[in-house]
Amino acid sequence: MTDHHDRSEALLDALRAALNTTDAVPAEVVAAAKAGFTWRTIDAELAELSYDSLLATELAGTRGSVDTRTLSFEFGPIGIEIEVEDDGRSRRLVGQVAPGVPESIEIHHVDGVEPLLTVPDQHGRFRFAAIERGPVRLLLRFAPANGPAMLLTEWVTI
Amino acid sequence: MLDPSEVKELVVSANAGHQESWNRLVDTYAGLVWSVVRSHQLFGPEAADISQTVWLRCVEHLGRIREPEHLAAWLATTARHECFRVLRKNGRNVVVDEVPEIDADEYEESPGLSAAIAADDRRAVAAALELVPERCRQLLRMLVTDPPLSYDEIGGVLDMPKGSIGPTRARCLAHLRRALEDAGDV
Repeated sequence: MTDHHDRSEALLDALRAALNTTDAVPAEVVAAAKAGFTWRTIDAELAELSYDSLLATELAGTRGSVDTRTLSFEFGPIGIEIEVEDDGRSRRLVGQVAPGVPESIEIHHVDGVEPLLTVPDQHGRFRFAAIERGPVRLLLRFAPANGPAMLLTEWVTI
Repeated sequence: MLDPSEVKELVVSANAGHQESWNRLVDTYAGLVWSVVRSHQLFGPEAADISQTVWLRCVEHLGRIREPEHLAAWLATTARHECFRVLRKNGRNVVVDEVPEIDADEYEESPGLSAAIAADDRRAVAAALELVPERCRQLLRMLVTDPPLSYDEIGGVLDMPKGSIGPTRARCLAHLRRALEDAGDV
């Protein structure tokens, strides 16, 4: 038994050493994680991801059938619904905020230099086109009566 | 490895805006997050994006982390959920199948395996990991993380009852031994 136990430990040790050599976390991945700290935002509220169609449904049989993804974020009574359409090259976001129409909505892309900004219509509907793959979040700015001064969505990879 | 009080201090300090505290958290746990991602057979830009998303989530949650001692488990679980999303997006389901039965005692220490381990043949061992059942690959990866996860944490990350981790571990090690042996015979 002890012998068996020792052999198991030896094999796990060998596996640990093997993965440390052949599959260590790449330096650029570590650097990106450190750089992510600059996205820290202390004076915004956070709308949490409450629904993601990618996690909610059983996968249909056909590959590539998931090309429109629905995301919902919530902060108190405020809901943000987004549809992400992926045509294989870029992504288009179509969404709506309710209740309370923000004065502006920005999309932050982790690799982007300048955030894109849009003004939603009177029903809180908005869209962004030609978004690159990668982690994004939205920043919503509300007038005082309508919601928090700044509301961020959690990061999602699109 | 950091002890829980150090983790707590770093979380508080990073939340107060100290980049160097954040860097230490990343240095400590980046490998763990990477292990979870790689255990789902994701690599390249997709793997990098998942890791980045996990760390961005961590930045925004710094002020909301009530139990910093659970940070490792939180990071690992967040990473796994991000993996689920990407796998689904790619048209793949997440495997939570039972691990195929294998006689754990059948594989006595054999010359080929001993030689591979003794020779520190890391590529052979890493290659063998690619040949075991998917659920085994996930579990074996989680058993050798740095810092190590407890069985409770591994059970939470992999949705595996804590009580079945021990037996499954034995079976998965047998699968790994067999894969090493088979590779050695070629």
